[in-house]
Amino acid sequence: MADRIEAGVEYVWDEVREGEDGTLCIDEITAQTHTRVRKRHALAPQLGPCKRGMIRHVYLVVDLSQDMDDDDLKPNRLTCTVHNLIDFVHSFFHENPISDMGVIVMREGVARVICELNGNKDVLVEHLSALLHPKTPLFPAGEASLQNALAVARRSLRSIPSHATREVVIVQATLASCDPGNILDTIKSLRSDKVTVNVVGLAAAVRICETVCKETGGIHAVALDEDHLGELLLALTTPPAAPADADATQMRLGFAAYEGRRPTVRRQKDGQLGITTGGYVCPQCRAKVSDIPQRCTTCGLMLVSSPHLAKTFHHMFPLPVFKEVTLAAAEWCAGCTQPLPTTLPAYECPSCGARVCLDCDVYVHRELHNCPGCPVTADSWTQHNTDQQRQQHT
Amino acid sequence: MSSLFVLIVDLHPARWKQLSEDASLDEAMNQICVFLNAQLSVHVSNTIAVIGAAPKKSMFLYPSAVKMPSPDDRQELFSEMNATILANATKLFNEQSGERHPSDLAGALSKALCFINRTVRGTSLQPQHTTASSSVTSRFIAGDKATPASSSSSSSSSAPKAAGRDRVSSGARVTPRIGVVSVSPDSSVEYFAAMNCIFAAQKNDVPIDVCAMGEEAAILQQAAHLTNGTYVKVHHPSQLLQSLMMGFVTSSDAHVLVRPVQRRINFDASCFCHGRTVDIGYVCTVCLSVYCERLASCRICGAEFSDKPGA
Ligand SMILES: [Zn+2]
Ligand SMILES: [Zn+2]
Ligand SMILES: [Zn+2]
Ligand SMILES: [Zn+2]
Ligand SMILES: [Zn+2]
Repeated sequence: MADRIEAGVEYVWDEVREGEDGTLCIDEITAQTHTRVRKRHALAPQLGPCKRGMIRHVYLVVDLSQDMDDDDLKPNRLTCTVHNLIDFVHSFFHENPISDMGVIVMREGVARVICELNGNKDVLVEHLSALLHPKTPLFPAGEASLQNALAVARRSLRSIPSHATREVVIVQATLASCDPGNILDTIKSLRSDKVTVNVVGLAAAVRICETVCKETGGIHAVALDEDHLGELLLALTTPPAAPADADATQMRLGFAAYEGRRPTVRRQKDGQLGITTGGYVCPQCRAKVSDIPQRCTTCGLMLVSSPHLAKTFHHMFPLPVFKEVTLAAAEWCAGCTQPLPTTLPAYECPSCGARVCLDCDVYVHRELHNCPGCPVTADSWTQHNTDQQRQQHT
Repeated sequence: MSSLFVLIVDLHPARWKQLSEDASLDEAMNQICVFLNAQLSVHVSNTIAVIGAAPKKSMFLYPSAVKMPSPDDRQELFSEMNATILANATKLFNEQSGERHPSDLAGALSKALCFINRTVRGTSLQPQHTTASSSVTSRFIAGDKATPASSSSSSSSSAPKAAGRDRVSSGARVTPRIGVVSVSPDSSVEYFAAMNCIFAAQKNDVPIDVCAMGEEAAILQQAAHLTNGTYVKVHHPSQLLQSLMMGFVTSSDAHVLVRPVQRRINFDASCFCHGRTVDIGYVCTVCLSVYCERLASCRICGAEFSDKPGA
């Protein structure tokens, strides 16, 4: 609890004042605000290009002990957690299109897999939102067992081929764990199986969780409020840096073409079979699937599209950090065209010199991964790429 | 529900000349202006922006960084707007030199997304002098500040909290869309930058509608598909207005009625070893580069491949 009180509370209301017409408005946006926002988005120190585990296998572990019913997060811990986890699933598959995820719940002292590892985010979202159903058999009850959950996850993850990551993400509400044996042994076997454990606490930092995360190379954090919980989870969607000794192989993938007018029988949302048009055709056996990425239901070939692979490009060649500059004369933001006053810092692209506002600086680094000012030409891209590769190799 | 429509016009001089001898850019731009005026007329709080993409350069044609007069009624606003767009488009079109370069579509898309991000999410990190209750329509009056696009900062009430997940918190909901009028075929050099834009649009729920004149644009076809937009092919510039009207309907409900179906979209990759197009490839599990054959090590990231093939 102390964590939450002492942590960086942002006094956002300090910047709000009443305008002449009686409405609330924000003014006095200072350079300090800028620094704070930038820091918050961790734009200043950024990792250079590094090898990352692009193909991930993640078990989400949801605590369903009694402590999940607390209402310090609004409306209560369970609802807040599930909503944030659904967002997490969507962002995860946006960032890691050819990865798998499963769900484990900890309840009444046992851990149970409610959703096996799979790459279909709709299935995962369905299982997660079912936890909020008023008549769900999986209402929060009893105590959580960290050891059981880790053991269940490890059993399933150890059979994953070694070129993929093995990760566990635990959302924990309880401060106690009811374990059948010595959890330190479990930690040892997790280490030898190269399973990384990340824990996001809802209440306070727990010693044993810290140990698990530290020993397995994961991240341990405690959520301060609802938004912070979302941010902590979101941070875990970025592919982790791959260990130097990570195995690599070549994976055989099929690039499925979309055919808009070919009818297929498909199971609809309500469970009924129906005929739909539109789908992706397996290049190996010509069977059709409704959505990619997924395995071909007939021949088992993993089907993706070339854009899926391009998604990871920005991890290999990240957009350089923009320099903070003070403007001599007012100008316009190169991204969104709003005026850049001389009183506030602007941000300058090191390769093209375009200046952008803070909004755009955050947006281009967090989501777009392109500079709005850099004209893309054949020369500049190849130059950029070879430079980056040379850096990477040295 | 109001909409924010950002139109990107490909202004590649050589391509336009190739396209047709009898149809000039002016005529096409006039059709585009008619379409934009129609867009604005659908809803009083609809807003638009126009970006021109020329070889190696892209810029806002409207709202423009040069001083804009403040028209009193909408009729006048329309004529001012049309004049600004035409003047800026002609200027950008004529000043081009590097005609062998492809149009800077990725740059234009990046600008459009930045503009949409600021307008829709309205994080207000810059002082905007707009109060929390300022209605979107105030942009028509706010023109005299000579600021480019001091428009519709609908959620300026939100505290300084950038790029959060809470787009929905804005009071007046604005649905953003991007339209692209393209005359260029694909240039693979733009591939990754364009893909980054498409993913950002996909993540932010911004559909990209594409109107391709002349040659097919495969990247833009994928863009439309991935973002739930519409892709229409126009064979002659004189059909432009009709295609825009039918294909780029802003209301998402009306969209269902007229969406043309794509017969086939290829998502083939080209291999890094020979540049061949492959439909079944071998992908490095570390950096996801595509090869058409099994190799001992990855040529991009240098990873050594172990013998046994994975998955
Ligand atoms: Zn197949
Ligand atoms: Zn900006
Ligand atoms: Zn730049
Ligand atoms: Zn090859
Ligand atoms: Zn590689």
